[in-house]
This record gives sequence, structure tokens and C-alpha cells, in this order.
Amino acid sequence: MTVTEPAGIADRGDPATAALAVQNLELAYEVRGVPREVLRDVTFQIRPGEAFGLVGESGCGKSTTAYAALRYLPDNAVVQGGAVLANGVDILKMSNSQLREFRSTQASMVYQDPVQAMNPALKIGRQVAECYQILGQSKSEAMASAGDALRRVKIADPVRVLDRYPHQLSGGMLQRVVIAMALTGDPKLLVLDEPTTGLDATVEAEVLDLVRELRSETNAAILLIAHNLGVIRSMCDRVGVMYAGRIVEEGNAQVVFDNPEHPYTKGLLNAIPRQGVRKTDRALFTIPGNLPLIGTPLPTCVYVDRCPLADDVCRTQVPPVVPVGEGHWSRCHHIDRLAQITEPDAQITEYDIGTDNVIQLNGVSKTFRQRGHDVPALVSVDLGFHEGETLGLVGESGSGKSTLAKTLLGIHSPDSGGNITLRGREMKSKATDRIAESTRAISMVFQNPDSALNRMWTVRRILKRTLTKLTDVQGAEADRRVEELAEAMRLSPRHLDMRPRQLSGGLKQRVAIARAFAGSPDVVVCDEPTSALDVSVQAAILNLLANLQNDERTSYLFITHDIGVVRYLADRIAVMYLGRIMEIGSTDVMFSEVNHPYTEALLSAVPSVDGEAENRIPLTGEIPSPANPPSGCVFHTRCHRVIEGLCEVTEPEMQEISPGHRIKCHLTIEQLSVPVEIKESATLATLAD
Amino acid sequence: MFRYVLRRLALSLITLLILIAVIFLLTRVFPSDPARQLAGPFGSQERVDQLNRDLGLQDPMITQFGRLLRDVVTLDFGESYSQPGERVLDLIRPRLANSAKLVLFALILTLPLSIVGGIIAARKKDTLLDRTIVNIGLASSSIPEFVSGVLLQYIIGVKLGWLPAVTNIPDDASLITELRYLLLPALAIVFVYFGYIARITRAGTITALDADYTRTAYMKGLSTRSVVRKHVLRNSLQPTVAVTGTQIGYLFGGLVGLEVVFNYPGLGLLILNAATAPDFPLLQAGVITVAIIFMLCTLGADILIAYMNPRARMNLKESS
Amino acid sequence: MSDDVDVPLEGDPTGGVAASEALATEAIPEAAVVGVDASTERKQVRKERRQLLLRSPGFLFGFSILVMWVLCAAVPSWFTKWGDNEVVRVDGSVIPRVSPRADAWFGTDKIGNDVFARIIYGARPVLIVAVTAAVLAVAAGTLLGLTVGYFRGWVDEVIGRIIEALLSIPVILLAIMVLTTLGRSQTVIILTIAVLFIPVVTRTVRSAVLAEAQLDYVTSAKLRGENSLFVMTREILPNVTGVAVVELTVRIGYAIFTVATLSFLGLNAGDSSAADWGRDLGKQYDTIQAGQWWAAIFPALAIALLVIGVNLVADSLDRVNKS
Repeated sequence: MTVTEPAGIADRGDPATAALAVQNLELAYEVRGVPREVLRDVTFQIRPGEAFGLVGESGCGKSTTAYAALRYLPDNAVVQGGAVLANGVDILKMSNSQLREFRSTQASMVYQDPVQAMNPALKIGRQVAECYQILGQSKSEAMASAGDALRRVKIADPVRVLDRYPHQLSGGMLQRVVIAMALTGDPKLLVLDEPTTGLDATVEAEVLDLVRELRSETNAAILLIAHNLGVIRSMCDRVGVMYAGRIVEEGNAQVVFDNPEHPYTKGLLNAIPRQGVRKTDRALFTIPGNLPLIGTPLPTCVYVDRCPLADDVCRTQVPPVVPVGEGHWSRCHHIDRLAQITEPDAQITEYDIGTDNVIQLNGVSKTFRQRGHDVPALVSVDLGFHEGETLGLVGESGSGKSTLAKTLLGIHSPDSGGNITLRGREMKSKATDRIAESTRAISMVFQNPDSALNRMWTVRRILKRTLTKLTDVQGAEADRRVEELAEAMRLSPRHLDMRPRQLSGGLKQRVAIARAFAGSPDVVVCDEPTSALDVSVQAAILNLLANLQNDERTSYLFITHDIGVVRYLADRIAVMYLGRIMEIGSTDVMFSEVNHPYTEALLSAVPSVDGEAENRIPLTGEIPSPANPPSGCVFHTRCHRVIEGLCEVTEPEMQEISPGHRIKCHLTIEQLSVPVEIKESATLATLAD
Repeated sequence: MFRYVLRRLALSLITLLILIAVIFLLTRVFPSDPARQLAGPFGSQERVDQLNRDLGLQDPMITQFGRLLRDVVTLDFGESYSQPGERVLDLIRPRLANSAKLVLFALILTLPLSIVGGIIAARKKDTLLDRTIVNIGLASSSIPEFVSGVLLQYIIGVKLGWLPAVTNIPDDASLITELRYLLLPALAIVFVYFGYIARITRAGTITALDADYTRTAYMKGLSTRSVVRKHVLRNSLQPTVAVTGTQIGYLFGGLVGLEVVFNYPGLGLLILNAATAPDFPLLQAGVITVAIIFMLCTLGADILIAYMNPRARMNLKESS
Repeated sequence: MSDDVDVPLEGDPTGGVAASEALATEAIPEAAVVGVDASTERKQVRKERRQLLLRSPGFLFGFSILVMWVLCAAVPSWFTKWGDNEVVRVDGSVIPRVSPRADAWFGTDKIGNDVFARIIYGARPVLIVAVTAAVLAVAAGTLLGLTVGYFRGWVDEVIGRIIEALLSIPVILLAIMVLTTLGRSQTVIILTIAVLFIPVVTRTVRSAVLAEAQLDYVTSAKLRGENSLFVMTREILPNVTGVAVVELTVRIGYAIFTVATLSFLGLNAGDSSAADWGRDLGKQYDTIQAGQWWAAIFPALAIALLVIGVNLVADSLDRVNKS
């Protein structure tokens, strides 16, 4: 492979003084004796105090790069060339003891899953103190330092946290502990590998705030790996976009996200619902084809098979590194033709929502019994939705979103008192007791298609069984319908005879959607249907869902934690907290009028790829346990607009602040419109009891 | 922790109660006429009736079951049928001690060997050494202990003459002499359990080595030695402890064949003889003794695991 | 992970977008990525599994041992000219306790039977009893495990307790108790071993079923109105078959172990002069001390070899299953 020294990289300064300089790194994993390349000619630099982000979809090599930066590689990894310099020293050439010294004093890492990253058998104190013992402190000194370290990451009660085991802490709290450990000895390089993936938006925002603050305090260089472009934009000075083991574009984060100069970056950005775009504005851009398999030999340009601009030049010549601005370069032959990649048109032009409620929940509650305690998961929920409408349901984990969906579906039976009606007729609470018509009318698309599809069944059998079970269509007619259904999902006929493991994640989710639509349902419950998928695949699924709804006039109950997605797809949005609906309104008003304080905090927590910096409203403390909900308004313990003497005593009624926009809050519109002042104490992390 | 032990103990007692019921049913419900057998084929009908009355064999089932429960609580199982005049408890006590000696000795030999073997295999995963340990383990643990007993007896005891081939230990034997006699049967046990425990340890260690917290430990800058000692072992040995707990329980009564081969008076042989006699009080008491020991061993193992891993204390319900 | 390398990670030939419409039909090398067609694909998966097995020396070794013993059990007369309890006569006279030699490879025993012939003939009873018992136990245990794992609730609690109670006594002790009260025909022995193995099979299958029952495809089946029988037998059962097959091979190994032990202790069925490895060992091991090792050692080796063979196969199946 010809090694080109990218001009854009060369003028970034002397690699010997960089906090991290990865130079022409070539890395492969050996599988059954055959080396499969995962990193190709990866080159970038992080200056001291700089934050550098790597983005890309799964399998692009970003995590491998992160681990290579600390030389933590699996046994079958083979470095085929290049160097990884930290302050001018090649860590790939260090002896084992030098490497240990490097890891304990120079560089450290924060991981994706803090729960797994901590040893379950040891108390927090021992694990944090260990970092200081490595630096030579005595046991008692180290324990004192551990307390200080936790204070530094804004844990309100370090002494109590030190005495706990990991399983007794929340994910957000554990991630603070992991960060505290990473800061031991003030490392010059901090590698964060998807540090907030799997955390709730509000917790994610807190963790990101913390990292930002610590960064200005310590002046450490940061390498941040994330698939969430918003996180990268809000955290990083510079960004590298990876595809198939190669960096295809690098530059200032804002510049790259606002003016991408590589077809892949452009496609990726257009695939995300952003800038408040709605399904009625335009369809989402989809990148055709598949992500390349790890280790397959790739053509000259790694993106050629999926690129709308590709021509013979792309197939025969390695694209050069083209400088496109100050410190900004792209690896593409056709930067001049980028404007030809246009945003797709609206797929839904005319669009009407019925006026009658298809489904109506009246005072539905659900109480679980756990270890002799009543745990109210849903409290007197009233909710209805219309034909052809998408109702978005958002809230942090534990807010009762899934319980609501499962109760509607008849997986859980609600407490007595409430009822659910389908087109005005009350349904039995348990799915197995429902009449055939009700069973057909409601179906579900699950979050994880691997779990949702029987892996021993072929796609054809999955679809045919559902079809014949739910409708009168039988025999050869059913076979024909199955093929039509598959076609409508843009599955090819040969997919029908495959089993789920032979299909990609996106195709599996299409099968799951096909199954959900087999009985021509009135309502489809979608439980985070795209959260397990890559951005470019998500876009295609969202387009499909929008189109199907437009054609079939199906109603969706769409559960998601992704504000961008819900804004794109939903007609109305309901916000849940501790089993209660706190706010409901049409998507337009939700993003233009005043909101419930909880919604306000939730919306401000989302890091935006568009970079519109808003004043973030931190939520104090952790979500209270549903088993022991706060008195009065359940949100008062975390509310930044709490009225002392009222909110903790009286539970507010739903009030309609504009037609169809209701909030469960004591405050008036005027009071809610006043900007919030954020207290310093609100940024501390406290233990939930 | 205390509440955990209490709850765990309560579960064990329920299990034991069910087991006693099963044993009771096995010895009472199935067609057999203990009184006739005791009286012998030529005993008079009067003698048989007398025995039935004396032993309470014609009382209602529930009364008899109650009596058995009382016997278990008071640890008094009455007199043996086959050896009249002997208290059942007095017959069991020396056998229990013998079994304990053999089992303990075998464990002292097996555990270090198999745990170290398992850890080495895990650290050198997929190398020749690993495959060798795993396959030898698989093969040796496949062979019934009395079969390896016979093989060892022949090769070491008879052919080479290094060790006594049967365990007719002299009464005045010193500890060393006694261990010399016990070494062959103990080796047969080592043979069976080395592979089993080594494989469990290997699997546990591989899981722990691959865990994220191990990665965290490496990233802190710890040496491999410290990582394994401080972070891996505490987690990786939990399955080993669990399996050792259950297997000790089985060793106390399950070595019937081995005890026959070496003519070693342990619990297994006692139960076999009681079953063929038949001597129901002795049989019941023997089997219940084995069950109680099993219960204590698994209880001990679970408490040790709960100590090693605080999460296990929470999972009591799931593990049952 | 490494085995998924051949499977496409993402496939999304969506159109609906002006710029990529043409590409969706033209530029995606789907056939190249996925393979030719589905049935070939499936065959290929099976073929790969088979190759994985055939490449494992442990499996090959174990499997050849099994084939050998099954042949001995099926047609023993192919391997020896003597009957199992035919007294060997050389030059018209009975010769007991002959050490191994050219015309009696494994020597003769106390009575004068050819040890080699008894080894060959001994394969049949142990295989019949062990395999039948294991099949019965796995069938019943799978059924039970499927039921309690699917329905949970108090039945599961009760059965779970009983299983735990039964598992706290070594199988061999329970077998001794049952056989001494019920007598010992071959049927009783088979049923006893089968019944005593049911708890452990149930436990294994139950935990596999519990994991399956949590998956969304089960929820999905319930939501479209499938009854419990359908969900258990059509949806879940195919996904736990692999576990049950491995369990079957493992149980066959333990059943051989148990049958041999019972025979060794004299608790076996049938004609007391018929060839039986366990019993032969039990009757002859006392001759070892007199230096006449062959009559005991060969049956011992036969038992060991058979169980090793079964376990090697079980272990390989398990590993292929998990990969």
C-alpha cells in the first residue's frame, strides 16, 4: 500500500510533541491463521489539551484505534506497520514495565459500560485506592486520595460511595467513579470509548459536562470515540470520520459537521433526523449497500461500493488526501461533485390523521408486587391516539414507557379500575383473552430483532404463520401474500428462505416489521425499533415506517429515547416520568411552546449535532425508586422550578396550556417562561437510597 | 450477610425435609416385609407379628413418617435390624469418620493440582498445554472411580508394590502409615476429580480474564500477576467453589465401588450392606447422613461464594 | 465472533431516495456477500458444523471408539469365535486363568471363559441399558423442563425443590435403594436409571427454556394468539434441541458409568453367567492380588474406553453447539 503523508496532517505540528500521534497504523486480526485487516493507514494527531473525536458506524475500527492508543489489543491482533507515539515515544515498542508505567501515569481510559468495567467483587474504595497504590501511596493515603478523587468528579458523598459495591450504584454514578480512576496521576491522554452509550440522556449530559469541566481543569488531551455525532460535536475540537478501518475525513468538528467534504460524512449526516426536520419535510437519506465486512479486502476507495459519486477513477486509483480548508482534509476524488448528493424529497406529501381515537386508555394503572412492596409502574394514564397518527413516547429508563406498551398489548394486565378501548369497544386486559379482532388490531415491533425472531424459523415461516393466524388468508393465497409483504418491506424473495442469523440487523428489523404488518393492524407499538441499528440503517427503517403508515393509515405508539427521531416521526409526543404522563402535545408545540420542567430538562440534555448551544438544565439526583415515589408532584425532588410548600404536598392536575397541549404542573405559562438560574449544588451527583 | 445465611439455611432445611420424605417412601411404600425378613424364613408368624408391633410397622404412614422426623432431629435412629443390639448411630459414626478421612485427603491432593492446572490452561488458552490438560482431564474424569481404583491397585499396589493394595489399616497405625494406606484410593479420586475441577476452573478463569473489569485492571497499569491475583481469581474461582461443595457431598456416600475395591469401611459400603441386608433404620440413617453432609457442604460453598461475590447474596432466588 | 465473519453485517438495499435508487438495484454485490441461495446457505452451515466436528481429533477418536463398541454389540460373532460364556477348550481340556496368549488374546478367567470374547459380548448389555435409560431420561426431562420453565409459578417451585432434594444424594445410592426394594430386572434397572437422571436433565433444559422464554419471539407468538402448547413445542423446543442433544450424550456417559457400577456391586439383571463388564470386574478383581490381572483389567479398560469415547463426542458436540 502506498503511504501518502496527508498534507493536512503534516502541518499539525511535530508528532514528537503531540499527546498522541498515530502514524500510518496498519492492524489486522488473525482469524484461523488468515490476517484480516481492521485498520488501514490510520494517521492522526492530538495536541496537548485538545479533544479529538472519532466517529463511524459499527465495525469501522474506531474502538480498535482507541485500544491501540493504550496498546490493549486482543491476542490475535497483529500490528503490520506504523507507530503510536505518546509524547514522542512509540508505545508499540515499549517494554512491559514501560507500558505499565505509561498506563498508570500517562494515559487512561473510560469505557462504554461502567457496570462491567468495575470488579463486582470489590468495594469501590478498594478499586479506586488501588490506582493510587500503584503510584506508590500507602493503603491509608490511597484511600484518602480515593475520597478526594470522587469529590473531584462531583460525587456528593464520597465516603458512602467508597464503601459500596458496584452493583449498589447507578450507571451514571459508576461512570463518574471510572472517570475518577482514569484521572489518577493527572494523565496527559484520556481515551473515552463510547463513555455515555447506554446511559439516559440526562445522565449522559451530566457525564459530558463533567468531562468538559475536568478537561479545562487538567488540560489532558482527549480521544473520544462515539457513534453519536451530537456527542462528538459538543465535546471535540477536531473530528476524524472513519469508514472500513480508514479515516476518510478529518477537520475541525464544527466545520466537518456543517460542511462535510466526503460523500460518506455527508451521507451519515443526512441520514440523521436533525435541524428539526420532520417526515413531512423530507425522507431521510439512506446509504445503499452494506457496511463492509471486517477484514474483507477493499477496493482502492473504501467507500466506492456505496458512493453515489463513484466512477472508474474511484475503482482504479487510491483517492488522494485533499486539503479542503485549514486543517481539514478529505480522501476523495470527487470533492467538486459533492453537491450532486442531494437531500431526498418528502415521501409524505399529503397526510391526514383521523379524528376518532383508535385506542383509548382510560385511567390505566399497573402496580407490580416486588418483595412484598407495591411498585406502581403506571399511575392512572389517560391516553388516546387517532387513526394514522404517530404518538411518540419519551422518558428516561424506568419512566414506565415499556410498561405502558406492554399493558396496551395485553402482556401485563392493568390494575382494576382503568380500561382500554379499541374503536370504542373495551378490550380484555390479557392478550390471551382477547377476541381475534383485537389480537389482529394491535401488533408490535421490538427493539432487538435478534430476540424478536425465532432463529430456527425461516423468514417465510415467520411471516406465513403470523398471516394465517391473524387473518382468513390460507394456503397458496397466503404464500402469495407473504411474498407481497416481503416486497413491501423491500426484502427480496430469496430472503424468505433464510433464517434470521443469515440476515443483517437492518434486514432482520424489516422482517420484524413485516410480521407486525401481516395482520393489517390498526396500531403498531414500536419499542425503540432503531436503537440497536447504525445510523444509515436507522434512516431506511424510519423511512419504511413512515411510508407504511402513509399507505396503511396505521397508528404508531413509538417509544424512543432519541429526541431527534421522535421529532422526525411523531405527530404528538407524550413525556413520561415515574409512570405518569407529565406532558403531552403535538410535536410542533412541544418544540415551540413552554414545556413541563421535566421536558425542559430532557430536551436541554440532548447533545445536538447542529451545535445550537443551549443552556443545559441539570437534573438533581437520580430518578427516585418507583417503589417509593416522592409525595406531591413526583418530579419535585429534581425540579429546578420547584415551589417550596406546594409541589411536595399537592400533586398537580393536568392543565391545558394551549389546545391539545397539556402539562401536569402547578406553574403557569408565565412562570414557566422565566429563564432558569442553575445552582452549583445541582451539578453534584447524590446517592439514591 | 447474616440474613442471607438464614434464608439459605431455611431453603436447605426444606430440601432436606423433601428428601427425607423421598427416602421414607422408597423404604416403606415399596413392597417389602421387613418383619418377615428379620424373623427369617423359618420364623413363626407370631414372631413376625410381634416384630411388626415392636417396630411400629403397622402404624399409619404419617405416624411412621413423624417418627422418622423425630429420629432425625434427635439423631437417634434406634437399633439396627441386621446387627441387633447395636445403635444405628454407633454404627454410622466410625464409618463417617473413615469417609471424612478419605475425602479430605483426596481433596487436599486434588484441589491445588486441579485449580493450578485449570488456571494455567486458561492463561495458555488454545495452546498445546491447554489442550493436553483439558483432554487428560476429560479422559480421566470419564473413568468410574472403582475402575481407576482397580487399575491403580494393580499397577502401583501389586505390580510395583509401592503402596498397600487394600486398606486394612492396622489399629495402631500412625497418621503417616494411615495416609500410606489411603493414598491409592485417594489417587483414584484425584483421577476422577482432577479433570472435572480443572475444567470448571479453566472455564471460570477464561470468563474472568475476558471480563471488562480485568481490562480496567490492566489499564490501571497493574502487572499481569497482580491482575490475576487481585481481580481475576476472586471471580473466577466461584464456580470451582460451587462445584467442589456439591462434589464433596457426593464423595461421602457415592464411593461405594471404590470402597468395595479397597475394602475400605466407609459410608458407601455401610449403605450398600444395609440395603442388601435389608436393614431399614441403618439404610435410612446412612442416606440421611449423606444428605445432611451434602447440605452442609453446599451451604458452606454458597456462603463462601457470597463472601467472594456480594452480588450472589442478592441472587438467592434466581439460583434456586 | 470469528464465525460470524462470513455473515454480512449490514444490508440495506433501500431505495426511496432519488440519488440511490439506481444504486439499489445495480451496485450492491448482494449475491457476492450473502452466498448463492438460502438452501445452499443452510446446507453450508451444516456442512461447516460437520467439518468443525471432523476436524476435531477428540471427536474423531471418540466417535471411532463408539463405532467399534456398537459393532461389537450388534454383531459380536464377527470379532470372536467363542461365545461369551463358552468355556475355552484347548486340546480338549478346560484351561482357566490362562494369561494372554496368541489363541486367547486377553487370557481366560476363573471359569475358563475367553476374556476377549466376554469383552466383545459385554458391549451389548451395557449399551442397551445405558442408551435406553438416557433416552428415556432426556425425553422425560426435556418435557418436564420445557413445561416448568415455560409456565414457572408454584409448580416450578415445587418441582424445583424436589429436584434439588433428589440431586443431593449420589445417584448410585438412590439406585441401590430402589433396586434392593424393587428387585432387579433389566426393565427395572433401565427405569430406575432413567428416573434418577430426570432431575438433572430437567434442570438443564429448564434453564435453557428460561433463557428462551425471555426472548421477544415468544412474546410475539403469544401476542398473535398462539396457545401454550404451540409456543412450547414449535417456538421454544427447536431452540433447546441442541442443549437436549448434548445432554443426551452426557447422560449416556453417566448411564454407562452407573450401569457398570451397579453390575460391579452385583446389582445387575439377567443371567448371572452372561458377559457383563461391571460384573466381570466385580467378580475377578480379587485375582489381581494373585498377579492374575487380565480378567479384571480388561473389563476395567473396556468400561473406561467406552465412557471416554462417549464423553469425547459429547464434549465436541457441546463445543460446536456453542460456537
